[in-house]
Amino acid sequence: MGSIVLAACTSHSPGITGFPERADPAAAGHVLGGFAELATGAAASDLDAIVAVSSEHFTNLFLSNFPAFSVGSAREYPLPASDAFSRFLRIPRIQYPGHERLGEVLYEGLLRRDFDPSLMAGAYGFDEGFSVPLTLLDTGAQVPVVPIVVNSVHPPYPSLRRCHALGTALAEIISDQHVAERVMVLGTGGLSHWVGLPGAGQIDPDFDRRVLDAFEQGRADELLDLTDEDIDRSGNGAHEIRSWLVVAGATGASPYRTLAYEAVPAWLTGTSIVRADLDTADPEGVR
Amino acid sequence: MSEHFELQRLLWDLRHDPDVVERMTSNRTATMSEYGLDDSERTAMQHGDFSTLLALGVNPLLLYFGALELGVSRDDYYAALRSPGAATRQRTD
Repeated sequence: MGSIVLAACTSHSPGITGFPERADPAAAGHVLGGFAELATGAAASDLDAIVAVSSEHFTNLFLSNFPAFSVGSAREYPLPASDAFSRFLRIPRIQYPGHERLGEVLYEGLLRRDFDPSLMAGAYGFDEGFSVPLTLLDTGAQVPVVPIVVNSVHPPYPSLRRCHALGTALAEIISDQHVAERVMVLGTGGLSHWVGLPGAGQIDPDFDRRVLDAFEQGRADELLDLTDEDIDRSGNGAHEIRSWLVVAGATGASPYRTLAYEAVPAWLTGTSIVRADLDTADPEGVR
Repeated sequence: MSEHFELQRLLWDLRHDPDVVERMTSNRTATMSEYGLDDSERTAMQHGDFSTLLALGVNPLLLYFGALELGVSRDDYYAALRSPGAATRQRTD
């Protein structure tokens, strides 16, 4: 039986890897330290798979066929998607391993639970949404990933409640399967930021604090009443909290610890990393 | 949500097909016609009037990424949004 032994949510701003030097050094150090702490925890967790949830930014998916949710079952994923992304993110291109079988199990399990994701069985390249966190979490093990894409870039979006419910369903499927025993769930994106809009560079620390407080209290469900208009006030990029809410749905009332939060205008993003330790063999999260 | 499909397809193609960047650089008017852009879209694209394009409902990510591919810098793109009406140069260097 599978179990979720580690859960985390992080920002995925391209600046974290692509132009860290533009940020205040103390802020950048704090954020990178948070990722390093999470990487150490992941390395010690003996993971069989990472189920990673993110938006994507019109890198693979376009309006000719635009799914609300997609599940990846590819054998491998170009990370990053292109040479241009590699230069932009300053991440050398690799083929990151996918957990093909777990991807198939999650896709089928969601369909059986009346969700209707699209399937990404190959030819899917990672933009910053998966590339930045997976690179910063990787200590060399390259834990196989199942990417799950949530539309957070083109309204109307799937509702927050539906995203949370999807996470709950994912947790059920993960616990019912036998192809990956020790699983990390990772949500990426947010927090407040604007992309392509006049607000770019602004950050809404009050919104960010509200999200972090809810996660720290294990009450992310309290965020489900936010309207899209509420979220718009914290930037179009803030809609990426959908990825965080999928993960929250998978981890129920488990409280999270904030490993780092910094408002980083140079990265255009309220940048954060939160983590929940769920390994029942290690309830204090001392790993 | 599905308005401006042709323009948004052009913006998407700019990021995925270097040939479209070249065609938009060498013969912008003809390329926009091929894509079937309407008059308001063509005029705004010709002048780098990103505020108008956002107001029309073009997706801000597609617009921003497309502008970058046309040689507009990040700073110039956002400056144009913050000073609507100011002429935005489409840099080709």
